[in-house]
Amino acid sequence: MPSVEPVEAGLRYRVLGPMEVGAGAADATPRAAKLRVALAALLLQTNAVVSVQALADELWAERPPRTATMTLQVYVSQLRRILEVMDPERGRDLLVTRTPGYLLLVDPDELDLVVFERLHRRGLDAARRGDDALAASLQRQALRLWRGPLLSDVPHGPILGATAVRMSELRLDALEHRVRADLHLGRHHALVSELRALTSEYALHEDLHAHLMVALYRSGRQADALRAFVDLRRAMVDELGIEPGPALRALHRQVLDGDPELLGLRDRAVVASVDTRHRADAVRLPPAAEFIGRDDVVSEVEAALAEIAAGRPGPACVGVHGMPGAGKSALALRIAHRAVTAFPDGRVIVDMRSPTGGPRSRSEAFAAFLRGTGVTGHLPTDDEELASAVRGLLERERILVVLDNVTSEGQVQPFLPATPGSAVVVTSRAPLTGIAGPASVRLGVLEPGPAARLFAATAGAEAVYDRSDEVSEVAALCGNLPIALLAAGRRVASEPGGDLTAYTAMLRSPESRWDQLRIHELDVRAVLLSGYAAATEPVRRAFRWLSQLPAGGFPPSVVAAVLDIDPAEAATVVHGLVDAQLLETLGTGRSARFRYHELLSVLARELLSTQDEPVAARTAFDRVWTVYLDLCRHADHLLSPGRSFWAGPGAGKRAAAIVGEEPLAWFAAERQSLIQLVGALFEAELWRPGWQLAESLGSYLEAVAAWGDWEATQQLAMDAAARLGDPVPRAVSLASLGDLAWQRRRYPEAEESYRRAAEIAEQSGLAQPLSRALVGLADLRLADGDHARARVLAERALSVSDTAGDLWGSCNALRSLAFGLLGDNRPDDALRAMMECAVLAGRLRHRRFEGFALAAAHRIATLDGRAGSEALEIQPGLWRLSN
Amino acid sequence: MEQQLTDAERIASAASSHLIHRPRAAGNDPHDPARPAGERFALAGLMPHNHPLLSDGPARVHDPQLFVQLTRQVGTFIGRRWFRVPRNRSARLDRLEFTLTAPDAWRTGDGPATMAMDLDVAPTATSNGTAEHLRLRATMEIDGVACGTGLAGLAFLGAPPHRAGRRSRAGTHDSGRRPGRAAPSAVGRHDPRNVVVSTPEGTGGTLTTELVADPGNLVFFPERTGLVPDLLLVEAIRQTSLLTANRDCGFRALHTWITRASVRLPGTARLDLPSTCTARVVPGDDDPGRDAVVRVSTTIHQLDDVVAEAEVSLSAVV
Repeated sequence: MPSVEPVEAGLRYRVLGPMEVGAGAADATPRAAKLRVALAALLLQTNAVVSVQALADELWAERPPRTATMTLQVYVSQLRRILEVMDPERGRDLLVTRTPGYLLLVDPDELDLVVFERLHRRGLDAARRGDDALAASLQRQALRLWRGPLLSDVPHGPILGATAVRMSELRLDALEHRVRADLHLGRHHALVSELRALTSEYALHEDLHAHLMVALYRSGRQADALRAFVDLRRAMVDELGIEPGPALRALHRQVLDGDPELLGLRDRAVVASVDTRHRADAVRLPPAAEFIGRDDVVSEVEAALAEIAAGRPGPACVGVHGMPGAGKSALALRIAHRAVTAFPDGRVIVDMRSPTGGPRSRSEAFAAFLRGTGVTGHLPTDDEELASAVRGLLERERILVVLDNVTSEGQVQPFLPATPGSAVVVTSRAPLTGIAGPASVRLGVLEPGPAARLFAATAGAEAVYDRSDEVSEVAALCGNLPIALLAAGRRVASEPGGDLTAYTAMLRSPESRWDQLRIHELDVRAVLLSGYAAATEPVRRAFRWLSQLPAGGFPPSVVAAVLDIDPAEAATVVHGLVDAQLLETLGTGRSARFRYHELLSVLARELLSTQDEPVAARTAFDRVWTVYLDLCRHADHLLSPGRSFWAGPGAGKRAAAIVGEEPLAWFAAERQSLIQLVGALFEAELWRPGWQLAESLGSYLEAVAAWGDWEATQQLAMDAAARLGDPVPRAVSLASLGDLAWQRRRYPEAEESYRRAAEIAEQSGLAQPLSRALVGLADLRLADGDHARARVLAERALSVSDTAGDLWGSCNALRSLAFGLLGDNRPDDALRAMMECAVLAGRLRHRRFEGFALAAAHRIATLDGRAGSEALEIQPGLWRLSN
Repeated sequence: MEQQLTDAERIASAASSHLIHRPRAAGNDPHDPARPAGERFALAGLMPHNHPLLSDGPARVHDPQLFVQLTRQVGTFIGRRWFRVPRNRSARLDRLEFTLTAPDAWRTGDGPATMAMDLDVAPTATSNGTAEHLRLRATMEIDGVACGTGLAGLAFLGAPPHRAGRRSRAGTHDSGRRPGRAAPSAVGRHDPRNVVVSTPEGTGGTLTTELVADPGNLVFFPERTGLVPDLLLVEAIRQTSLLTANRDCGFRALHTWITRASVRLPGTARLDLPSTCTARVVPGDDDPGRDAVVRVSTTIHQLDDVVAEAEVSLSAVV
């Protein structure tokens, strides 16, 4: 490390700029101009006798006064008094009379000019030795002494004039050598603007122009470098009538040819004051832990690194981002271990997070990298010197740098090499697309298979032998998140003879799940919480309040509805949650949906109950189901108008805007969320909305024959109906179960359900479910071949519906009646009934039913009374097949 | 006639089921090349009981041949209703695979069992918007238990592929001899009318039978045709495999079922020409922990043409 010159502290006399004598409280700068001239002349020839004549010439040029000698003696006397003020102890003895004049005794460290010259000389020496960092540092220190032109506030005579010219040249020389050293250190980017100013001031200075050309060339600005030469040449030709010298012309040719030697790699043998050439062995990478899955991601990253090695334009960087605990660091370590061939000069991992959790300082990061490559000895504390050492290494050798836990692009920039060879892998939570650009990989959770294997491998063969179902369940409860899988595996492995069944049971419980995912220093909750804590307050609040949304995912429109904010604000909130890795994105564009990771959902609900007001969880959940019920009713109304007597257009314009005009698409997208919500409502003992939501789902589940979900939701609806003690939900749910059983061709079950529904509906005077049940029974009779009975039931259903003004009920009854009449060999009556059905469906704007009815009418009209057929569409989208 | 009516009624009652078309979310542009080309369905019905073929197998188990019948029947209807296949085009299976994923679910109970099937149907060849070939993927449940998966290829042809002047095999000629049928119990059936292969011959590793087809059997011949129906070919594969498993491994046919089958039907067989089935056991991995399973490879030739080839896995019905 270059020794630090105590230049500022020891100075007493400053002439590189306005004159200053003494410092601070001991300022002894003479006010009178003549005194300053005399002192200046003595200072510029320190420790040498300045003759009386020379002093007189300096003071009065060629017109000295008649009493010049005496006047000079007075000046000397006054100067001695000034010096005494400056230095009470020795000041008076500093100005010595010595024939033929006077001598001013000055310590070499006391005069800035002398210090400057010394520093400049040392800088030149360092440059000759190839120690560019020291050279740059010394020249920089030397130049810092200048505060302006030499003795700018003192009239110049012969001595001052000559010295000023000399020192001006020397200063320029120091500047030029500093720039040269900086170029050797790779600081070409930073030098461009300074060199532009210098070449503008010194328009004919060839060396400065040469440096500018090199700086521009190394910055990838070949055209600008050539333009700089053209500007200089024009100036020289115009003003001096000469061409630039051979050295500059040779440089010009190199720039034209794109000579790689201009990049200056050969000049960086010893970088700065850090000896990066003679290094110890690089620090070994930590051992790679067992790595399961992620083959595709590893391949993707390695392919990007290969492109970088092949000279892909752009930053030599690959980014890996993802939520906390996804295994980014482990992935980076694995890639580093595999990169021996591609990066033979070293693979270094630098943790960019400090022990306190904040970002590591630049100098610490640089030092960690240099030590990682094996650099020994004392490292400078100056950021620039460290940075240049880092850059020099990366540009000279082929090193893979892994920057782990990066939080900003600024942390990465200093490590980006300007030339091919080295590369950087960055791990971060949020994507750093500004740096990595297209080579940015998102690391999600593991697939179920690898997740189960990771847990099993960690837990140990004995614990998981023949327990594949429980292993899969544990992996699912961990959300397939690597850090959780590792914690779970270690917990199980830590228990001798550990009971996987017991562990799984505890893991299922949200209350005990965090405990089961914590062992020694590995605390999954703490890791996930760090991501939450790093987010802004609005994002954190949204994270908590949206936790009540169904786990199946939700669109931004629902976020707006639940948080009661406008869609634009909702989009911002969602974006913030995704950037903070608190929400996962499913799909892209307009169909994008968002969901919580399993464990983040647990965390969010916990935080809602602990950080918000006590009723917050219930309030949030109430908002959620209110919104979804409204949307579902609206979608049900669009899909099957009139079928459900409480379904109708949703409140306000929101439901229409969210559901859109394609209810099937909306239901398909929201199906899992709605079913989960039905379950959640029942768990919360909200019976009526739970039943209403289940019933609102019914027409969709029936249309797509989703028997499993249909049965599950209707069983819950039956349970709710029983708890409500209300005949309406009981009758409706039974009718719905009847429809389900009938569709599945489970006729005995259907019969039972329809009969019970009809009984309850009749007792309670409920026309709609009664009609629906009667039609169901009619359809069963049709299946039996008892067309007469079917017709009677359908006619009764029609009467009930007509009386109640239930258009859909009448429509459905007419459908069944038509088939009954057809079976009774009454095709004309059947046709009439089916056409009437079509008319009613049209009035309801039930397009699907209308289309079915018209097609059925056409078949009836062309069947010539034949009821039998290999296939007959008996309900919209449902065919009865017979051989 | 009376017997035929009885068979027809029995067949009709066994095959009555509900086919539900699962509507795709509207808004998908039918002209969008990225739009999935297929359709999805649910099929619900009862497992056959008292069916002349499907109820004529090993006791206490449902016959997986049901999958063959269903895919062919339903696939034909779907092709005509949704993929514009003209009625004058006949359907022919050219590929069939199925696996019993939960064999226990195939055991019969006291009452009728419900059957449900999820079907994914997509055209693999079209001409002017008309499907010429459909691929059907299916998963099956019996009484709510997922128990089987399958795949079928259904070709829709205007006229059966005609191989002009089929050459006789060198050294063979039709002497007019009609081979005797195998015993029903040897092929896993009770009713002799359901036996479709002859008494086996052959030594060493290969077993040979001749196809025996009765055009009057409505089960295999629901309509008049000059070709051997694909259902009959599949049944012949089944029966030849059982004969082989019995001869080489001691499996008793009425206590053996096919748990997995992979069948290709690259050609058609004419009724007026003899067809020969040859089969051999395929060496497999021995897994002491598993129930005994034997794999049999079977080929049906008509003269020099391969009409069908298959590999099936058989195991004992415990």
